[in-house]
Amino acid sequence: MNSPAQGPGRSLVARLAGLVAGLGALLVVTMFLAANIGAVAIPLAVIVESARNHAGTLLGRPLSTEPMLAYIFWHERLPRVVLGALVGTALTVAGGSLQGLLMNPLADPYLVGVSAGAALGASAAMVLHFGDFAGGAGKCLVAFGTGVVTMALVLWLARAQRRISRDSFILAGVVVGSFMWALVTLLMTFAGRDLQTVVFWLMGNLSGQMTEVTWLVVGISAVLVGGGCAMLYSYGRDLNLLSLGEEQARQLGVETEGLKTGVVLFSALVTAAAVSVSGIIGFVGLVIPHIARKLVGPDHRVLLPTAGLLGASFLVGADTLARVINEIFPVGVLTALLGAPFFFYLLKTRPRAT
Amino acid sequence: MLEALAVTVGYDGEPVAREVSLSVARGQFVGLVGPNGSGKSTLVRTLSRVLPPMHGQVLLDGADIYRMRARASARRLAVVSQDNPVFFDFPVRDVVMMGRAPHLSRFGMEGPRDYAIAQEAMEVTHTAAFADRPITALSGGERQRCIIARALAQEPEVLLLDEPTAHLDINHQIEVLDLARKLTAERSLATLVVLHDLNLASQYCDHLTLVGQGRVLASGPPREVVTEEHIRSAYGTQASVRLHPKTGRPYVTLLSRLPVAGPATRKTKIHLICGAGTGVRLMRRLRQAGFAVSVGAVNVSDSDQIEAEALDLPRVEEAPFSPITDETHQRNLEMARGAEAVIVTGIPFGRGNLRNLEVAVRARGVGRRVLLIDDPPMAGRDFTEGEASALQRQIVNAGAELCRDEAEALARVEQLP
Repeated sequence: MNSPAQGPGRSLVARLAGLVAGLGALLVVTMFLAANIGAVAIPLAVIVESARNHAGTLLGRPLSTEPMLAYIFWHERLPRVVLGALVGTALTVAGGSLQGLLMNPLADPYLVGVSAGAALGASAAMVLHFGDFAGGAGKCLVAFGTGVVTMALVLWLARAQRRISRDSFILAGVVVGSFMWALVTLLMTFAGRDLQTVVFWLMGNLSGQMTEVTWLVVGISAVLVGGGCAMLYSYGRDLNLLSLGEEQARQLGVETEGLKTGVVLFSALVTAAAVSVSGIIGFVGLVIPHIARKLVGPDHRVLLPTAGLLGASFLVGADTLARVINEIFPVGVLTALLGAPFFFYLLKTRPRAT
Repeated sequence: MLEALAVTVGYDGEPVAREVSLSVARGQFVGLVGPNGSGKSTLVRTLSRVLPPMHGQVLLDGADIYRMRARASARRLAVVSQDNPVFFDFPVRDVVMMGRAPHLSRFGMEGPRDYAIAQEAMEVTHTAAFADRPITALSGGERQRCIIARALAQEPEVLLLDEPTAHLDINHQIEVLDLARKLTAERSLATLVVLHDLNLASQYCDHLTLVGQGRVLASGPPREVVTEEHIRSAYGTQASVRLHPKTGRPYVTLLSRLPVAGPATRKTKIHLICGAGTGVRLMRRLRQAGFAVSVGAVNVSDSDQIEAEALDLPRVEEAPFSPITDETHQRNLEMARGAEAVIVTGIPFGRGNLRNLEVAVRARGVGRRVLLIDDPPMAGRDFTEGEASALQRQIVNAGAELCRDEAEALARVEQLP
């Protein structure tokens, strides 16, 4: 904890560095295991050799023929694992930020209504068959687009006299979300043979779009998620101050309107990015921040990065488990099955209610 | 120096308080008092850059605070609000450190100096012992002191305290106000305190502003502001204001409007001749004992008159500071005759009210029971060159009972039906 000898500033940075290093290592290990495990087991030796080969091509040496295993690793396994890490990070950081902003332990990234909007876009693309361009990544783009539009709609609805109140924001998100879901259901009634695809997408999984352009999708997601999470981390101190109450935060110099808009905007952005590639993966954004808070405390400057890393490891691990069960087992189902009882446990072990 | 220049404050176009002007100079401890709904908290919000005024300006050393950036104002002005819910279970030290935020850049980390300032703030507010405990685990009063520590950590020039004593025990109330006063003097702060308790406000503040009915009703040193009249117009209730013997400040005793006792249970009616506060306690005790009590003759604004009015007793009143007129004297006689017993308290007698004693003579003359409370002894309160003493002797000779004190008088009437 904070000792009188050193100021808390230094120990904060030290703590954060330690956590990032530790959890980062965890993530890397998880990712490697994930890449290894699956319908086809890819031994480490193959990966290393393949890596060397690729490194060789960068130095100008000709590409040697890739064995199939290496191919699977680089073009199917690894992108999926990286995507899982990105989605996990995005959902968790968005969830944690919203919990801090709304001061509500039940807040999760889907509260913004963005997920419903993205679902609508993806469903429309699948049912109406216009998302098949770019090898399936097209529907990700469409989903992202509709997600962003939904976010703008929610923000516009929630604003009254240039201010966003917590309650009106939640209401706007719920209202818009409900409406979007109604449209999704409507589409499903017209889906016919595509219904299965739509349902599968909605269940949340990381295998939906594995085609040649996968690395492009991963790259774009990485930029969106990385940028968005970085912005959310920067709001760390302001979120701490907000917990004193909005008025007090303002009296301490926080521009609360800017904070609210910023947090909502970037949470929505990373959530849209996540949902458009993975469908609706539930409970990650709700439960992981709570776990992180129990481990490292409520200081958002430490909490958000920690939660992000935890979320990444969690989702990658869950997805690996899902693949072990069945190569196309939707991870969203697994997170819900694991998440709900765990959340119940959290509720039961809370200290006496305030 | 914080100034409000004719500010009108309110919500959604509805003003709560109009044209309020006040100023707090460095080193000054100013109180803002008034009934609920008078706009005190709204004024604090406007003064602390949270709620822009509908009209008027708020100036900090001459600069309009609403033209400043939030952080700039937060570096100089700290507010301690009434309600302080803290959502997450931050340890106290972290909460106090949040007061350093206005002095830090966006990504700046707190350094040893910030830490030292926070530590000092905690020690001065006696919260250092809680430093590592979660703030949600503290009692209301303890939490309040932590929030004050947080305000101090801001190193403000101006301190706004909105009912800082709201959830505190008496001893902690004193502690907080003593602390605030001390810091105001030591650090040359300009402090504005909103207080519910008029007596605390009167005792601690150099200057008071009383708001009520949507405007400033009085402004000035406590002696000028805390008066029975002002309290009546602000709060709509009777009060008795005296100067406290130890502090020299006005102190307020609110007079209850509840009936002290139910309807008279005894048949005996007692007429009380009193004045100058000598009858206050007796009136109540007699009523509580079940007697029907009447009072006369008392001057309006005399404390016995106020009490009799508060107790809703039949009474004979004379104009303030005026000698008893014939008419009043007649009424007093009639009222005394209507009673079965007459009690005269230890009033000082002068030319103006000597006739009251004559009423006792006449009452004895028609056979009423008369008790004279000789506390303090007549010799010390006879300003009529002996006439009052002579009258008293006369009444005693005619069969009146001379009582040593109030208790004896009560004991004597106890057996009356």
